[in-house]
Amino acid sequence: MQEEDFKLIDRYLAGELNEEEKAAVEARLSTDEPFAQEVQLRRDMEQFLKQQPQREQLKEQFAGLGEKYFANGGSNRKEAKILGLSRRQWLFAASFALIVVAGALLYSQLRPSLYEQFNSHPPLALTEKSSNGVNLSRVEQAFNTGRYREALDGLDQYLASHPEDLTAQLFKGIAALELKQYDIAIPVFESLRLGDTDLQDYGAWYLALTYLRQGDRKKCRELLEEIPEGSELRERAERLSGEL
Amino acid sequence: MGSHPDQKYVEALCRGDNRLIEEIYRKHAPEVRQWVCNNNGSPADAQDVFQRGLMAILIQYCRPDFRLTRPFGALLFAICQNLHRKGLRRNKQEEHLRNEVEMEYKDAEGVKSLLEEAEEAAEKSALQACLEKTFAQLTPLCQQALRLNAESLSGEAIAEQLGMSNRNAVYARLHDCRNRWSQLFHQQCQR
Repeated sequence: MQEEDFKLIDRYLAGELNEEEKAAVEARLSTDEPFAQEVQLRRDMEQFLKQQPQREQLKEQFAGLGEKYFANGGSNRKEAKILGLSRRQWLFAASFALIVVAGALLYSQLRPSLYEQFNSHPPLALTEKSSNGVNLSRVEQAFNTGRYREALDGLDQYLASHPEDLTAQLFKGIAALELKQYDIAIPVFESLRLGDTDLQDYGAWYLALTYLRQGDRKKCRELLEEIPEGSELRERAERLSGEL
Repeated sequence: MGSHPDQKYVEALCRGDNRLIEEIYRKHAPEVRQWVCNNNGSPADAQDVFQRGLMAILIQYCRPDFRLTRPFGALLFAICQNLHRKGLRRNKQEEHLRNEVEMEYKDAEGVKSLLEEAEEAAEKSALQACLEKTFAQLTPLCQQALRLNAESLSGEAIAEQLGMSNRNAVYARLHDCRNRWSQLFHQQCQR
């Protein structure tokens, strides 16, 4: 498939072809299988996007109902029988309870910090951009597998020739944050937060996470409040605010 | 041919009707839960296949011309079986699967097409999962532009929302984003 084919498919699905072009595409659909498969994939992509709000709404509804009808045996589970226990059984039960309490205490010590509960990052996908001598697949792989030092070096190199790439800047900031290099991370996030782009909320969100990691909960909370209603980060921001 | 009275459940899923969706859970969750648990699955697996089964029905049948011709429970149950079976196959546990086809829903002329329908819905569900996975790998900007475009916003409106210079810049970006999405899909998914 060539770039021209993709453009043709876009125009066909957008209904922009004249009758003659449309007939040619439709004839090709029955003879060129890769072309036909690509058209079908693009249709599936469109349907996926159109149904996304419905699916999100249903997922929310399912979450509550799933809990009710599947957790702990569902709504029609039988009540457990209450049995009389001997002294030995009571001692055994008490010891068991003690172990459970000790385990719970240990778990509370070992459970992830608030930062760790919220630091799930979007995957880095830079290969759609020209590489200009930098192996972007390796940079992506490094970031997506948590090798942040390598990712940061690659992103620095890439940004030297593409300083305007805000997505790359965002991921550079995230890599620096993961490496606790706050002197690099904070200016990156601050600049995104103050910029007039769609990465503004990401700037505020990651700046909030930076302050959270540094232990400054007040600044973290203030930044979370900046993330507006309707932002894809709003729900996460509200959850973190709740935890704070 | 007229539609089955259970058509109301498909329509309920399409419009997100809370009351009827809860009725679906009340009527059908116990049997799916029991079957999955009897076939090497946990209640959490059952919950997962049940939800994916409902989602598959939404994806496959939410269109004005669809007419349900069999009980909703039979279709949902067959889809859930199929999804669970595929999960076990992935985990190489299929030999533990019992009750391959639930006889309760068997009817002389209907069982084959029911299984085919379930297979198609499960395939659609897998396709959807892969589209979801690869979509999430697009940049935030691509994701947002594609979503806005799917809401039928004009090129100008999208340009304004995304801070892009004009509608041509939006169309060029949308084209690149779709190509990237398709590329990721081909790399990571099988059709």
